Amino acid sequence: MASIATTPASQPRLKIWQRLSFEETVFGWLFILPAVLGLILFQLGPVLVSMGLSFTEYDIINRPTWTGLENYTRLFQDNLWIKSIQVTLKYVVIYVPAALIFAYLVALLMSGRIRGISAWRTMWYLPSIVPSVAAAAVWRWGLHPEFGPINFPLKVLGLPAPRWLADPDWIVPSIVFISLWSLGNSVLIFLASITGVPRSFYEAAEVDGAGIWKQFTTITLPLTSSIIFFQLIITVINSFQVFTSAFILFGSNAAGSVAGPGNAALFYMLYMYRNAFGYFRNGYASAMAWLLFLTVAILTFILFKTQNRWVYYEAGDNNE
Amino acid sequence: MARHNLSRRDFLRVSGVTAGSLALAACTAVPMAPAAGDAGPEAVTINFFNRGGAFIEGVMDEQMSLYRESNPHVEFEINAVAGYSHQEALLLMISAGTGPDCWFDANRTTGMLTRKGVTTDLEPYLAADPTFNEDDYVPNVWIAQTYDGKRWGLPWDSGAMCLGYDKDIFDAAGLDYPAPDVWLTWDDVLELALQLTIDLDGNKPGDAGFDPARVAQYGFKPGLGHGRYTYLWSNDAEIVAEDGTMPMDTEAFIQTMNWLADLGLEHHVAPSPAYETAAPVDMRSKNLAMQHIGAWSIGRINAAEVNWGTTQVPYNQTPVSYGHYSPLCVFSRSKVQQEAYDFSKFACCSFEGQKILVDLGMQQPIRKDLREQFLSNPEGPDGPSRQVFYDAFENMDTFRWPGDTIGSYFGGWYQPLLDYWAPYNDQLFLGEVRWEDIAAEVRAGSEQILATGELG
Repeated sequence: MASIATTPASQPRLKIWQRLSFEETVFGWLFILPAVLGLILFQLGPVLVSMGLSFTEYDIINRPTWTGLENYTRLFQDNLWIKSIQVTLKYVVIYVPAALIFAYLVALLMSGRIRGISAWRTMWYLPSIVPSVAAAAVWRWGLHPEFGPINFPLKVLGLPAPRWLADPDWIVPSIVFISLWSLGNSVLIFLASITGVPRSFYEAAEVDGAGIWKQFTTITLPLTSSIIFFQLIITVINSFQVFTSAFILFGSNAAGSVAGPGNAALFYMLYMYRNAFGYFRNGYASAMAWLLFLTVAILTFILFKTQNRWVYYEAGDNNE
Repeated sequence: MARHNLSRRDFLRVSGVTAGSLALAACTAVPMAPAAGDAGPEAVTINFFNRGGAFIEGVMDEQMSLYRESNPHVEFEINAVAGYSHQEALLLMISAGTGPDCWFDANRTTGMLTRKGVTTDLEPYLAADPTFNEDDYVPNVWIAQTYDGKRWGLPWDSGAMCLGYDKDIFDAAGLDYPAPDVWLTWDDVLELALQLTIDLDGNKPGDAGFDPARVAQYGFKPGLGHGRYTYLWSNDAEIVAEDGTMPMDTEAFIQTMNWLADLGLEHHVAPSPAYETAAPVDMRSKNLAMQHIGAWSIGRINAAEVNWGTTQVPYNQTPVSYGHYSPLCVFSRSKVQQEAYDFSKFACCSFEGQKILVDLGMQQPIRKDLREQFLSNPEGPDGPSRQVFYDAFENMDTFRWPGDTIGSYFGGWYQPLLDYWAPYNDQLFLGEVRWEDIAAEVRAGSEQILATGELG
């Protein structure tokens, strides 16, 4: 029976499952069975059910009734859906580059070997372990136009002090700001990749007379580009799914707005949630979910297609 | 170590034995609890879903404890949310297959839950209940739970809305208290409010140096949620007309909405989102002279040890009063509907159950025989001020409710209407628009919701 250890180098390279014995395959499957079952039952199952529901009218209480493509066609006539796309795209356009650049710059600053750097790193990471509900609640106060710690110094300096969470123009930037506050995980991943670049590369560059900027653009950036790419994909996916901060800041306000003045905080996920559990339109919300999934999938696909142009993999073939 | 490869036959054998063992284990009888020795009622667990904060939970705990004294076979399993979004939480529970048997609902959501089949029609239970007598109750208390001529919940908390005022603040300003039996006009209340609003430097609106962004004490806070309709009617505007339209673009409607916004934006006597404050502005915080409140606030205002009184809500053209109750509802798919109804009936309609609500200041009693209990309650406000709540609710010449023209509370679509209106109201109260700028658009969207329940 073939095994990895006994496969002669001269023979054609076998696929991984051809290299395993039947026994190894069976036990391999047995070991991963709980995870696979969990995936099928609790993730793939609901995903497929939601696809089915997207073609129905389903209000949770009564049985779904088949409506074909009606939910999808109605979406394009729904002004609030269009508004939710505008709000979400505005967030994506601001947040994705801001998050990547900000996290990368902070990681660069942290990569230096200076005294007290551990405390600095800890300080930057701490906000990312604060639950997003708590973060939103804290920043509701932090962004208070009269008494918040952001506007107070602005006022003292005589600078314009925006009404962060009341002015429709500032609501999305405010939520971007709150999101940037808890970028510790991204910083950590960037830091690991930056510090993982071999020192010898920089030493060789120094010998060749390369300055710091040259070293950054020709060594650090290319060698960490795979991580930048990974972070780009994750950030794009997550940025389309803003919910908690918008819901806490606006969605549960008994006295007033549920999505900010002029629906300026009507994020896609918030509107989807309201449709599903506020207006009993689960089929409609499922259609929204699938359109979001397709959009994100297409964007991810496009980003993957671009990686050959700018992402460097030390192992070689990007597509392996 | 020698390697032993498993054959397909061996694998199938091992798999079969394993599956059989698991199946046998799953079929093993679960030890049962010993049967009860007496022939008492079968133990019942009512899954109760509560909303609101600690105060409401405390009131409900007291009612449940009392109920269990005479019904020891009933256990309560309680889930609670403290926020505004109890309907979403309720639907999440239902969609997960763990819908509660009974819950504390809100006047704004009962209609939609009823329209969607979540609530149980309680008419058959009320009809079959020998202890229920329609004449025991104050008229109008059922309005926010009545759809298509049937009651879908029993009124638990709330009552009439009126204007509360802080006597200490009036004393400090050297002003007479509003009389409980004299209606203030909009001009009256504005005049009072201008004298009672003070910024952190002691300036009043109109004084040089008055800073609307640094107000220490506001004069007046109108009700902008359930209370807003009173101002509209009292200015001869209509919310839901008899023909099912929503004439939100009439001159009277526009004038009312702009007046409400201008209280904060122009007169600076009311809190406004344009001038956010650091602390809540309400009578409980003792930074507000007059507040449009509901009977459900009595206990909470008293808990803050406010020395207070009440009068009717100010009017412009026609005196109008309003009030509503929020109900306990029974889930249409509950397996213990009768038990859930029995508890709801006790909590909402019985003398003992309601007495708890009245004593703790959660409710203007719906039972007529608790009137004296309510009026003579030693807690504030005093008897004449408490009478204001009854005057508001029982005076058929002044009492209005949204949808009384069509016989259905907001047509059953109050929550979607609130959600639809909120972004427009935000813009109005921030001073970004005037009502006439958006009136036609709001009317069209509102009428669509009233007709179909659909936004967007």
